Amino acid sequence: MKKINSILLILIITVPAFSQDDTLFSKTLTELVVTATRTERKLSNVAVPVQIISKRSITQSGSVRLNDILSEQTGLYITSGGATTSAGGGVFGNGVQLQGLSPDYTLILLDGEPIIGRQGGVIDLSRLSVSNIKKIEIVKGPSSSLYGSEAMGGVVNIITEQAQLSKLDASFRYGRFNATDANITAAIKKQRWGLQLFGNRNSSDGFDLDKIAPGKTVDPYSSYTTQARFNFFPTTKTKVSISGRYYNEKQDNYFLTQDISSGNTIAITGDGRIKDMNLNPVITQQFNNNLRSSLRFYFSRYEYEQTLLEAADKSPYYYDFFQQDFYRAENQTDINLPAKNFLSVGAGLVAEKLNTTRYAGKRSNDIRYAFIQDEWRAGEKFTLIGGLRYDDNSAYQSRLSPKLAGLYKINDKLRINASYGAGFKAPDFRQLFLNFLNTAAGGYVVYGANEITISELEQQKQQGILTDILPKAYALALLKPEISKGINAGVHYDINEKLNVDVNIFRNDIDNLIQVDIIAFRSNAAPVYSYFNVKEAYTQGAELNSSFKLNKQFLLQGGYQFLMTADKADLKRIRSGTVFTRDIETNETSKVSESDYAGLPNRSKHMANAKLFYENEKKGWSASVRVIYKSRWGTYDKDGNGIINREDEFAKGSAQFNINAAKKINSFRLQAGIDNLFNYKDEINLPSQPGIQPYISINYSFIKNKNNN
Amino acid sequence: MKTNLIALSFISGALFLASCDKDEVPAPVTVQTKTVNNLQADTIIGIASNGQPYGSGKYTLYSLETNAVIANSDSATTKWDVGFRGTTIITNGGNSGPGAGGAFIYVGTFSDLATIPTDSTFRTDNTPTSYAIKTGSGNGWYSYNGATNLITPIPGRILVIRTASGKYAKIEIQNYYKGGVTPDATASDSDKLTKQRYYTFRYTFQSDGTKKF
Repeated sequence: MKKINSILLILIITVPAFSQDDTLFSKTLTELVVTATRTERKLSNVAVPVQIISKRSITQSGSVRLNDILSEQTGLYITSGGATTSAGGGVFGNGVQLQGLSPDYTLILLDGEPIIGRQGGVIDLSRLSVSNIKKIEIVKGPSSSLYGSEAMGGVVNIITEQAQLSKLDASFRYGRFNATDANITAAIKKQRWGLQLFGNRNSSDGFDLDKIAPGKTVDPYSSYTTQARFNFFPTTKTKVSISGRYYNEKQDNYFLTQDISSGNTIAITGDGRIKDMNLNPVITQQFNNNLRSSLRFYFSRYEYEQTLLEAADKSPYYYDFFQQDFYRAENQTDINLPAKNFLSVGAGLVAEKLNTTRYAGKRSNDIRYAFIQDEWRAGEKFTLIGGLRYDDNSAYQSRLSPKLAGLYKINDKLRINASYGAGFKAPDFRQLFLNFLNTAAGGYVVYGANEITISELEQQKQQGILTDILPKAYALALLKPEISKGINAGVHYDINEKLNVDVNIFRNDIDNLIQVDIIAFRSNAAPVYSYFNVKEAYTQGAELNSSFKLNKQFLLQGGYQFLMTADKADLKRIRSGTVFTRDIETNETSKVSESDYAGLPNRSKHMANAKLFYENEKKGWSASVRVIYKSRWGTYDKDGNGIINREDEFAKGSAQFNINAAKKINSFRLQAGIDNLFNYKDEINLPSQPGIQPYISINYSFIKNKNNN
Repeated sequence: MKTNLIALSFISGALFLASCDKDEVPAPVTVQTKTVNNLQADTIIGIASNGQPYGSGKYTLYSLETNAVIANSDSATTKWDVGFRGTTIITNGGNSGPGAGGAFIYVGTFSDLATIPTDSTFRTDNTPTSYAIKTGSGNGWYSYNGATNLITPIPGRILVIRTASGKYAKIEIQNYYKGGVTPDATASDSDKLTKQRYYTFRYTFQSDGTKKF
């Protein structure tokens, strides 16, 4: 593995890095971006860091689910589901970190509308098929001035295909562990309307990394996605679109567990089901050259249900139900003002409802918001953007999010940009509304911040339920959103027609992070918890991307991110000299220095990728070799000092090699590849990594496109 | 009682080995550093119907002066200096015992603590509301990781003890699990439960009554 790493390093160093946009051989300057400003802009005119993943790049990489393709992008770290990595990572599927911020703080959009259904703060990216995706836009840095809650680290916007041409495509992929992915895409395009239909089935037998323990590491699952989008143009200036999506997943569970009171081993069976649906009607009117307005409606429901039974007698073992509804109505109006000012104003209403076995009944929250953004083009060279958004609601403190960004084109080849933005994440429903008495593990109680008041605690004390109320309880207050303030500065340089380089440096200060704390003790000595805004952290680093066109057939891309993170309180403790570590061998303790501190868990200090793409359009051949490297990352504290510092608290760094090749023959496209060629595994820290995964796929176009895009 | 005897033989065995190691050079020192292994502190004997594990509820009393476990029947005497029950540690003073005991937590390494600073304040037990050695994760000598359900002594936390007779000792707790080895995070819950409440610690007792170690 060492050898491989050094080869990789050489590749990265000698190869001028990569381009942010991922179009293989097309010109980058004409690439359009919608997510950065909520209006379509040329990538070269955008003042904030944006990365675009094209359909072509997705196809060439042989990606199936969203986490596959995101894991190959610079600076994106896909967190893994795993029992021991819950600190900062998440046991709840594959989420994405942006600029070192946890998956909780990245907004995931599907055609501009939020994907809901976070489990433990994480949206499992493997819920999203990439087969009908036109492109993915990733905006890095706090973006709440346009998008509101969750856009603290940035925004990932998945843009699906719209009917451009009539077509019918089918594809099937088969891989190790009986992993299958089947797709049908149909499109009808008429002058006045277009209809795009998409269906996907994804399944796997799961796999077992630890052959000794009974049950599988990842249980078998299957999922279905259906999606439809209808576009209608009643006049040349009006567009009506309705899109809908339905996702249904079932995972079979089987495992053995020990009954704590009897010590007997019992077998548990059951299943987990996820349903996720959304509906999105939009009407857009171009009133004249200077005025356009759109009205968007969005409804989404996420449902999760887990039923576990004791295998022997089918008696209930565990039941969990969680249903979240999200309604939104929004208007956005774009106005071209004199002196090259482009103004966007918008306002909206959100209603969220929650029904779950975890809380004391149904809960809901309404949010009202408005935003304004002005983009000013001062001459050919300079663009300045200012934006502001206000989010108001009753369940937590309201929030004002500003943004300021500037772009200066020094010449045709060189441009620089800098931006400042604020982001926030609303306290989640658990932090607001949880009302939980754990009868199984010691009888402790957790209250969401809106479920308890000091007078209620005092009442409980009078009734003898509580023995002691701690001073912290008097600090109970309406929660504030968790917030980030981010600065980005970057340079883009087209050295020549073949080679370009992008560099971006960033710093995000995160404040008001919400944590639980003990507020009282019950008569059985068990603690009572609630939530407080306490923690502060930062992430900072630099990102480098470059792409180099070797010739007409070969494209080389490289990327690197350097990342430093810290919990500010931990840093303060270390600086005050009160943090020690214990040697594993000798049990001797010694002081921890700042350089030993690894920062937040689940972050790699160094991440890099190198990708070589080959394409010969005439002969129909294409191929790729991609290497993704991440350095060691912290897992969890073992020496009792609460931070990651000791050698055994890290998971080893790794390089993953993916290769594939494809050939077009008439209407067929055949692809074969191997992901994780050298069978890299880490069953403790990366239980969702099954090792080497060979696959083959076939794609057939029933109706041949007139142009090959 | 049987378990205590076993524990005792365990401990004395370990100490015997330790003394072979360290006491070969007869030097005119009044302090010795001793290591105690596998001191059972109310180990878990069952699980209540609410899922709470429980032990016998009794403290394991220990004399730092004689380096031995003291019978619970002597709890009202000054024979013992410290008592262990789960993660709770008492000292023979305040309302825990008739002695002059007290304690505080020194932040630093075991060897850093050469002399107890003159401005130190010893706390005394006022159970069950407060203990000389603060209870709770992160407050006293240990931290509890809710994700792994494991208890780890915080490195760099030294228990400075005033014994029942008013002399001084320092204790460093090194491990809370059987054999001095913390189970893996992936170990089973029952493993984590049955192996806990076994203290490994080292201590230095100053018999001349000074605050120097």
